Amino acid sequence: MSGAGAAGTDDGPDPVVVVRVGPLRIGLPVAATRAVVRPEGITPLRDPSGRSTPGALVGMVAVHGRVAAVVDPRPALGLAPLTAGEDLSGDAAGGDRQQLLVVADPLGRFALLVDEVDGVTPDVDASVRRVEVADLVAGVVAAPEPADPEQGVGP
Amino acid sequence: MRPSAGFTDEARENLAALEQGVLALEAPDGTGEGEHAELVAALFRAAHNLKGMAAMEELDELATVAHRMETVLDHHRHGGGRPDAATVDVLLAACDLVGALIDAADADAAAPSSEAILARLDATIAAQSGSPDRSAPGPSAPGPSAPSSAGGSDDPWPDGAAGGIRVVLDAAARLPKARAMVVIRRVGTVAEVLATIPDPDGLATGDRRDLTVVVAGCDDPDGLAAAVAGLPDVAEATWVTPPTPAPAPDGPAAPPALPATDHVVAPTTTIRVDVDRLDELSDAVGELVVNRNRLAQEVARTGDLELATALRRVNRTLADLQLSVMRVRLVSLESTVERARRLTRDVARDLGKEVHLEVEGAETEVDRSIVDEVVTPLVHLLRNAIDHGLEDPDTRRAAGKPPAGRLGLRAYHQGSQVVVEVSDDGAGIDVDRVAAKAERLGLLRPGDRPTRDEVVQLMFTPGFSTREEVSAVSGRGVGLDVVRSQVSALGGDIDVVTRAGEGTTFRLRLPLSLAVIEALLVQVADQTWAVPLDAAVETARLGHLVGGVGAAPRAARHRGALVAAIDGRRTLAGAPPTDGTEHHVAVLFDDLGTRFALVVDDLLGSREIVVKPPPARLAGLDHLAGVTVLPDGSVGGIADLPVLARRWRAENPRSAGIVGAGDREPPAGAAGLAAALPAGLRRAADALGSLVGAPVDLSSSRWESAGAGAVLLAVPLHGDLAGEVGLAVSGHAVVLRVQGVDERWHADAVVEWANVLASQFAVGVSDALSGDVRAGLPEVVAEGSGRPGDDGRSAFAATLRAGPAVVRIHARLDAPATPR
Repeated sequence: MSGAGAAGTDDGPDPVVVVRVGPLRIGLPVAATRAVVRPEGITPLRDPSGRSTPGALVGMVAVHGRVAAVVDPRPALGLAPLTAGEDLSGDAAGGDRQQLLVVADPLGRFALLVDEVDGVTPDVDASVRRVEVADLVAGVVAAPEPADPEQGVGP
Repeated sequence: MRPSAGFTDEARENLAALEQGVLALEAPDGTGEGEHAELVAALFRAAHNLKGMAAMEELDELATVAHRMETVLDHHRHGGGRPDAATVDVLLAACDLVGALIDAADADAAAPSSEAILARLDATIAAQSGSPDRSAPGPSAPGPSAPSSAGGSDDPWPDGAAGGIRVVLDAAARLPKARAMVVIRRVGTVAEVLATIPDPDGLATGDRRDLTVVVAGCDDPDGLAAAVAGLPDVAEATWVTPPTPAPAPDGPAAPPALPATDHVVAPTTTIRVDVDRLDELSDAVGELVVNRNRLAQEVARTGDLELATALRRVNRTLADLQLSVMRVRLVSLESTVERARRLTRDVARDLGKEVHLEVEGAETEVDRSIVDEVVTPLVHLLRNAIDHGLEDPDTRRAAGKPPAGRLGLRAYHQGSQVVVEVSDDGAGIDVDRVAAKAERLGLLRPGDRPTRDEVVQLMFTPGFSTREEVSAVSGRGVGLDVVRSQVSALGGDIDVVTRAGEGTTFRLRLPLSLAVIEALLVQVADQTWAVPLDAAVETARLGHLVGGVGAAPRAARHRGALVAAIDGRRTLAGAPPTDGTEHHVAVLFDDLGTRFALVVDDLLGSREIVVKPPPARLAGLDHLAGVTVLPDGSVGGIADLPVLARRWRAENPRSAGIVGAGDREPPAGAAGLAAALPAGLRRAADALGSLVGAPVDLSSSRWESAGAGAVLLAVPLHGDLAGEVGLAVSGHAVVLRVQGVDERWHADAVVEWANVLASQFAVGVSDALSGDVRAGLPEVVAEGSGRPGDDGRSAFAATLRAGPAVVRIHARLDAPATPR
């Protein structure tokens, strides 16, 4: 996981969207964020094989016609999953203040279930942990397939 | 510097023509001299076009390579005879380089070195003429066959001119001279160009935007004008005839009048459209479908008749729109076929094999996204067929086959699917070897006796392929599991038909379009899933499910037969297993010859859905083929049925005692149908085992003569069913014979059992029938019926209906007259 610090360019550090997840404040690159919406209309989705991190995959949601996987970032941040043991369905995604931060990454499109979105800031202080989308969704994304498909099959 | 818009596509088109033509030069079936001359001339034109285009874009490296190719071809165009294999090799290598140079230009990346290929081309030219051709065209130097200009606009038309194409370029055309050259080349593909009025150079420097390309003759002036009108930046294209000089007996000839216009042609007939724009259009139509569905729900809820009428009109228009968008996205498989030709040639040559590729249905059209994605699995299958399927020439001769192997690539539409077959006439899959390897890999346990089909299916198991296998056989190939997963990802499926000594056919079934499909929506626990309607055979209400106590059901009885049951609650929704004692609804589908029942909680009806890719590759959710936005705005998953079937197989491996019949070939001389009978018998025997509650052991089965040219597959029965079940085959007549001493063979049970055995037998035979019988038929339906006979025996008939063809199997179940 990326540590705190200011990744950026010659023009200065990249701004981040600061969100609160439990007791943590984390910063995600603004470039990766797409929308902030209320957690409504979530279709529950479970991993029958149990290969994903328990509780991390919550479901799917359509935002502006595009589908995102709803992910609880807490397990990736070392916190207990918000939805552990719950039969999440429909609008029962959490408290009133919770929000979905929709992010896009080469790994896919995700809606992160966060407690609150603080805002955008170019300066991250020590209280904000700077993370990448990949850090938060690693537990729900399948490992890439082997790069070399050149395997033999010879009867 | 990136080339101008349109260059890449046009250059690739010329390259494709070039590559295709070069391959045709060495086609085994040969061409007449006239055809050969035409082919070489066409190749020359393609190389010439490439050179001109590259020069205009200041892609000197590409222009140089194209020029050298042109020189090589020019030798053959002017009496140089047919190019030998070495020349074809050089030209193909040059094609590869041209492709790489085009890619590099398109990506604005560094061009690959052309030194080695140029050296080979020079060597070829030297061999042809005695001295290498070192000339290379500069950006402003047209190639040797570029038409001479007739001079300025006032220049007279040259002698022999039949007419010309007068072109007016868009005022905003960025590179008028380049566009003019494109026009000249296009005209030159169908007519002999004599001159241009004015010189194209004049277009580059002045404000003038019109040009007349004068030709010696043209069979289809309107068609040519229309073709030119479709070129980039051409505002107008018209066919004109030479001006008639006014009589001037006492003075110099009068200046030519402006060319007379005969026909004005519509400026464009075709346009190039960026694929991204098509995707956007497709997405927009998809959203329209979703909103239409929401509206339909509201109409149904309110019962508003006026709104319902309006909705019907919207439906009609939307259906037309969908069809139009889908058609726009359709492209033929030609490009894929051309890649296959090249691959076949190269791989065959590498392996020292002679291979004839027979192509059928290259014009078959499918969605562009399918074409893009199907290339990789097809390439793998073709390579595998050449590498592993076809024998070397000596082995083939020894087997009484022609030394050149036959590789077939066939594509055709079947309903809303497109079927692509890769077949070979090689040795067929060595099932024993595959089984032995599967045992080494732990996929089979010692003593397991899978059928022939089941062994073949093991080749699709992830991890089946190994490097060890590659090095032992040929060093190239691909795991079939990868092929299958790629096909599955497209919403398609793959099956295999193989016969020892006769060859193997891999059959890919793919959807025509990925954008909008008809789907059956089902409720599974708290989730809504979509099942592609194309894949569903039927829906049914099932009785008790068969499975262990507390475990998910593994089988279900349907129409007297056992089908594999997949518990949707557990496998799709990750919910607790379905209670097997309840009645359930299911969606039945077939996968690799097995019928499956996807057990769900409720059927919600069918509707069109817009297929969207999953938001990510989610761990443990490889059964998620895609997603869709439901009318209520929520998201539904699209079930990947082949993945579910594969999982079921992995969780329910066959136990011992069912191998034998399926692995043995019937004696030589048995009818073609006989080859499929073991599969039917095996299914019937499986069903029999289920009915009597004891496994039927086929391991000791044997083929023996049954008189009058018939053969009998006799299978001993053990335990309570001591006796023998046999399958006598004579041509297409089949008798299923049971010889035993058990009272259970009597009374009504016999009829019921006969029905079950008949249908299972028919399904097994149907699945194993050769492609010759099943090819092109939409589906095969097996029906069985039975009745007790007067003599205490029961007869049944199994009928396989397959579109217009019907295969009937009449069988008689002989029961012992005297119970034990």
